Amino acid sequence: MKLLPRLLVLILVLCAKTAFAQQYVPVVTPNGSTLPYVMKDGVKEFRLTAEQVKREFAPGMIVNAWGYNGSSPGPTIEAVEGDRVRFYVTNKLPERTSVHWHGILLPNGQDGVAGLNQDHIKPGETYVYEFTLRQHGVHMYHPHSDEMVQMAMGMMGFFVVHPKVPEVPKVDRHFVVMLGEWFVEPGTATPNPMVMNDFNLFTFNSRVWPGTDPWVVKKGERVRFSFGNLSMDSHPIHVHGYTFEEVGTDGGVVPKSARRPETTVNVPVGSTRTVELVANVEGDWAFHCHKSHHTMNAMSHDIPNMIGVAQPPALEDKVRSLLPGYMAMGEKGMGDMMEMGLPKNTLPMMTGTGPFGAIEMGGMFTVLKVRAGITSYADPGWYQNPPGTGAHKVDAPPP
Amino acid sequence: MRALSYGLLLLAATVTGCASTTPTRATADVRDDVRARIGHDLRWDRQTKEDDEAKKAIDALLARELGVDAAVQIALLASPRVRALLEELAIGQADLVQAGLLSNPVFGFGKTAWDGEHIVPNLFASVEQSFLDVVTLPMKKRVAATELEATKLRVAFEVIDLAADVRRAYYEAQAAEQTAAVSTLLNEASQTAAELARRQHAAGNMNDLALSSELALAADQALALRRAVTDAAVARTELDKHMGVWGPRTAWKLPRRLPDLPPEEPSLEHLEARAVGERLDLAAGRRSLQALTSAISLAKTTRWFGKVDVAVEAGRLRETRRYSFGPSVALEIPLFDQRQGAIARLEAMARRTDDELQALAVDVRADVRAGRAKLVAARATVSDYTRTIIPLREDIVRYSQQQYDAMLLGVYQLLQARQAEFTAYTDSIAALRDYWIARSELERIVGSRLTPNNPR
Ligand SMILES: [Cu+2]
Repeated sequence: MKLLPRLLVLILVLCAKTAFAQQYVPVVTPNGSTLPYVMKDGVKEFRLTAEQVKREFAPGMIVNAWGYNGSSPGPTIEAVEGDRVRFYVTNKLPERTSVHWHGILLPNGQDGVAGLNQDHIKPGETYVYEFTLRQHGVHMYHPHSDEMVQMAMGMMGFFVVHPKVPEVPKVDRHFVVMLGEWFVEPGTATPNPMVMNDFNLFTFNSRVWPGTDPWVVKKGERVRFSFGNLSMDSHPIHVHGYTFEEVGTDGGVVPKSARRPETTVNVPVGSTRTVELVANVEGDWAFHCHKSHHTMNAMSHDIPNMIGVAQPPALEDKVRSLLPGYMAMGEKGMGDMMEMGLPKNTLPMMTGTGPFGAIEMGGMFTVLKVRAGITSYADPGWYQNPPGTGAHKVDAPPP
Repeated sequence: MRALSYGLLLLAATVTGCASTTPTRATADVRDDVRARIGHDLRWDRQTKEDDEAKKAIDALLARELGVDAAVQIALLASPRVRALLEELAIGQADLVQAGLLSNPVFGFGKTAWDGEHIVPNLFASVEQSFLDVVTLPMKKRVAATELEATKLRVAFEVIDLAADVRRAYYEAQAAEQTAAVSTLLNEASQTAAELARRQHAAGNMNDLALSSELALAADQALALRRAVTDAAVARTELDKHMGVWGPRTAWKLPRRLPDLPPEEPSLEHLEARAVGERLDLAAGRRSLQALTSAISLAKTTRWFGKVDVAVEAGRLRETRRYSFGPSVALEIPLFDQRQGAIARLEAMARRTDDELQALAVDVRADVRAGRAKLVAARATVSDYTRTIIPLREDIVRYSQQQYDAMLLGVYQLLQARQAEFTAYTDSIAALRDYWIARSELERIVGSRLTPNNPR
């Protein structure tokens, strides 16, 4: 007699959860995750813990970052327009913090600017935020307390509010990608928040190529990409093989009449940009920031420029007699050489190999993989160009 | 009277003895002292077969790579300074012989101013001998012998001191050569950097200011190299001087590296006591004081004896035409001069010598403490270089190479890291040189080698 009511409750809860889950298509956070919640008295309750995290930027390089719930960027928050949401924020950082809900319309007391709207959350303390979502769009969350340090250390995340009325046409796949820039001195692991311009690592969701997961979609899907930027520079994010339309910002939806085709969306600092395309051309398409230094890993900006400086073998031998492992570098550019050694916990400046060899990039770079007939979004491997459709070597035509 | 004259001769023969003027014993004693303290053989023979042997030994030592002990041995065999020192022994020996001689008898011959009643013609002869000598001779000999003892000790001390000079010059020369070798490498690094800079400039990748800075660094380094090479040449000639060699004998070769630190320091305890006990200059001072004391007692003993001159006079008697002898004695009456001036002078000299001896002992003790402190500090400095500074510089080069390979560092910084490493080598060479010099100096102060086995 006791079992039946319990079973009924369980079925009801499961149905309710399914109903909520089916209300929207969840976003994909490449190399990241979505923040789970529980329903309590009709409120979606989330828990965020601000803490120090170890983030592997790419195999072989671990960064001492700060983030939420064990990751940087923090897990993506997803909710629906009209939801009431509650956040328990616990501070496990060595210093005080707060959370600002970037782009979210809410009561002033929930805005999270420590000192202005609330007390600082001291280490060990838990604060609660609670408000009702009155808009939809792609927003962010980040600290507003010692923010220079805390954001440079990687504390940020997406806050995606899905529309109450599902959009038409339906979006099949939606990637959210946080843009980041860091200065991690080669051979060290802790980012230097004091650096203002001279960053040496540029990340998609706190990962660098070749550590960034490919963005896999099925041919014919309507795909959305949201980029968030809380770094110190704007990042012009560029897609190959497609044009896309900018459909939204952290301010909301761009009216249809205002959309225009682009191949590059410049994501300004303190904004999100959402673009959309229909993936109807198969292939492995580069997706990257178009600032060329931003597609490099650990690099130095003040080494002597050796481009075109002849270093004949005799001179190289002379240096080698003083420094046995020496090799002349840079005479013909940097593309044709690979690093011969690296400080520990440092990624090569250019790395990552494709089916045709070295890709000679790092940083904000990944591959949009469009495939027909796939049943899973797992990495399908490299695209095989149909015979006769690829560029290839020929003898030079007569003049 | 005949008996008297025979007696005189016999006495003269006994007191003068048959002392030789060749200081064979003295040389042997000095040789023993030197060998006991620094383990080196001191040979000195003039115009003998041993001279040829010494020459052969010198050339044999110079033909091999020259070790520090070989350098000292060469100095002891070849240096005219050592020979000059050894002549002191001959001088002392001669003084000793001189002190053992009676004053010669005085033969008088004359004609009386008056016409003698008994003596024809008025001629006479006399033999006069001072008899004070007979009494004082053994004491004088004792004083001279003590002085010779002091001279021997002083000579041995000077030889040991000279050996310390040789060791110092040796380490200076070796360090200077090693430094010049490193300086050559430093210069090569700079010239290579300059060549790279010239090429970078020619390709349009480096501005005039940066090029000039790079070239100036290289020019400075070339000067430094020249200075180091000159220093090494000068240090070589200093060692030549100390070894007493010239001409073809200056073509010796030093080992490429200074000896490493010995695994441990000999016990530095009781060094003060050892120095005071072993220093030959202190022993020589003590002997000098002894000689002065003897001289004072000699003066005091004879202060109431004036001169005693005994004479025999002869004349021919007028009546008998026979010769007649007559003794005469002349006695000095110490009425005014009782040697008080001379005695006071000697006593003052003795006190002065004693004071000087005490001052020297105080100095020696202090010098031992200072020398020991320098040795301990020099050893610590060398350890710092070998255990910390050099390994760190080597790490810096290794990591710079790694960063260069990762294109995080330029070739100039890489070369600079190497240059800093070379500079650290140069500093460590100076530290090791200072250690060995400090050790030699402490040995000089203590008056003997710190360990029986000589470092190679
Ligand atoms: Cu960028």
